[in-house]
Amino acid sequence: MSTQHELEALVRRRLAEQTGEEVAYGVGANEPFLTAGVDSVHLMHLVAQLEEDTGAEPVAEAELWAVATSVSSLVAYLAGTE
Amino acid sequence: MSGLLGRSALFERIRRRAAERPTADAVVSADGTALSYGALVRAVAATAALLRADGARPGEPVAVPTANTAESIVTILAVAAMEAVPLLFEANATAYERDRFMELAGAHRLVTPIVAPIVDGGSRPWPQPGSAARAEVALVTSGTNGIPKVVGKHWDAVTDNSVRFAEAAGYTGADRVLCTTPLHHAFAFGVVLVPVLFHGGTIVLAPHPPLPSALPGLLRDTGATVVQSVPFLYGAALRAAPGHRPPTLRLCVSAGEPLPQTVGAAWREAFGVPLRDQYGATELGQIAFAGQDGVLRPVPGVRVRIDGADADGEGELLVRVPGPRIRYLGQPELTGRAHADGWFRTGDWGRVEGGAVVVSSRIGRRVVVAGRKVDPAEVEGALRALDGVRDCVVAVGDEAGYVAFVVADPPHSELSLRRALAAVLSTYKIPKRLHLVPELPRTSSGKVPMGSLWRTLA
Repeated sequence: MSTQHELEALVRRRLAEQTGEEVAYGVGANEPFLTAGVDSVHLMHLVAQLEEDTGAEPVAEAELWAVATSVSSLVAYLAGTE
Repeated sequence: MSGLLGRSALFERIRRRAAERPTADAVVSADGTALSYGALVRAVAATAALLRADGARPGEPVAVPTANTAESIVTILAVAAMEAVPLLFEANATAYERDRFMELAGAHRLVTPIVAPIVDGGSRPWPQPGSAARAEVALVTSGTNGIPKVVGKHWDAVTDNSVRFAEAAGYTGADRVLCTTPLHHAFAFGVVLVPVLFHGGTIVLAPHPPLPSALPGLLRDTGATVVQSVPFLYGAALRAAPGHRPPTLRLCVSAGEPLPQTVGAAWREAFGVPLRDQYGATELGQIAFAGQDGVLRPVPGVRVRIDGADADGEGELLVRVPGPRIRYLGQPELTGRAHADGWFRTGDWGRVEGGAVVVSSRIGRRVVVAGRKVDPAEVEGALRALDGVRDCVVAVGDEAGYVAFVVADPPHSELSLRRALAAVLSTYKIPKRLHLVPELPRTSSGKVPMGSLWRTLA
């Protein structure tokens, strides 16, 4: 079981692989990815990587935007499915 | 008259299906709700009547911001049913993008997708063969000159090509076709929307965009017999959940970018179902479809030849499809330039060998990001228009991928540039990285030599 803090660090580290560190560590935790210009394709890669990292079970809600609207939504997804 | 199956034939088939099997599912939405053929026909007629009452006229372009929903399908069909021209683009397009599409198409009317309340006894607008207005549907694609292309496609060409593709793929009224890509793209329009309804099958709309790890579960739970998707999603689904064979699945279709052989082979191994590549274009629909042997061959009715072959026998792929040729709305000079003696210049490079089509690369500067085409000139134009941006160049590097180099005044940062671009452009057009540099090198002719810029990343 990871803390929220550890999960957020993991999310930002993996996001940096898609968008670079400045964006990954600069985007607000609740800032919508869409207004920060992060595309759904980056997020699909990101979610797949995070699911692998944490062993999260794929969710029933199959829509990307149900789990990946912001850094904090991803943290909640990972915390809830661990 | 071209003598091809066109708009009125498509609607006649839908209406006949509704009469014979009114309770058969036409569209199943991502939330599981189903619209039967009987309900679809009533909803289309009611929505078309509403549009007409609102003043829409045959031949008029009507903008339909499209999502993968039953409402979008009903609205697209309703616009066509009253003999107007549906102009399809992504519902999430920015206002800047939407205004440019509508201006090019000459559209003054936008309809947010709806299913009108069904009223009894009203008139039932329905397209007639040989109607006076030009029977078109308009799809958008990226340009190469900074201006998007709005492609006016005649329904005769669209329906003929879609139906012949469906015959090659063996579609029947029993098929349930899972749609994972945007309906406003030619791939989903020509492989799902038109041919599935023509054959009386069921369109199953996946959540959009889907979580890659959800695809195997969707294939199992929706009872899909056919799925259409892109190599990226097939690959991601394979990594997420090496699966077992979904019981009803018989065919998987890939398009958008070339299907890597490794993905095709791994998919067949994991799921026991062929994954067949398809090569298409917004302007033409489905050009070539891979057989069980993985070799791309022209879809029946389509002719492919090459122009200006080099020493290896490769040249630009020219294609001819039955039906009236396409036109670029608002840019008539491009229409002429895109055609040569009735053949359409694809801008793709490749060769034709014994009936097989081999596509090797694209000509020109268009970038493909996960199957979606991006015009670097449009992105550079949007960047230059931002306050504080003095110069920029957008390019694709072997290692770096799709990136921009930007000269911008403080306090601009990579994040502030992304935020500003996201207000103007759909996010898929935004380069993967935006590198701030003190200045761009320029040759005496004004070109940017990329070599030194790539070296700054090393």
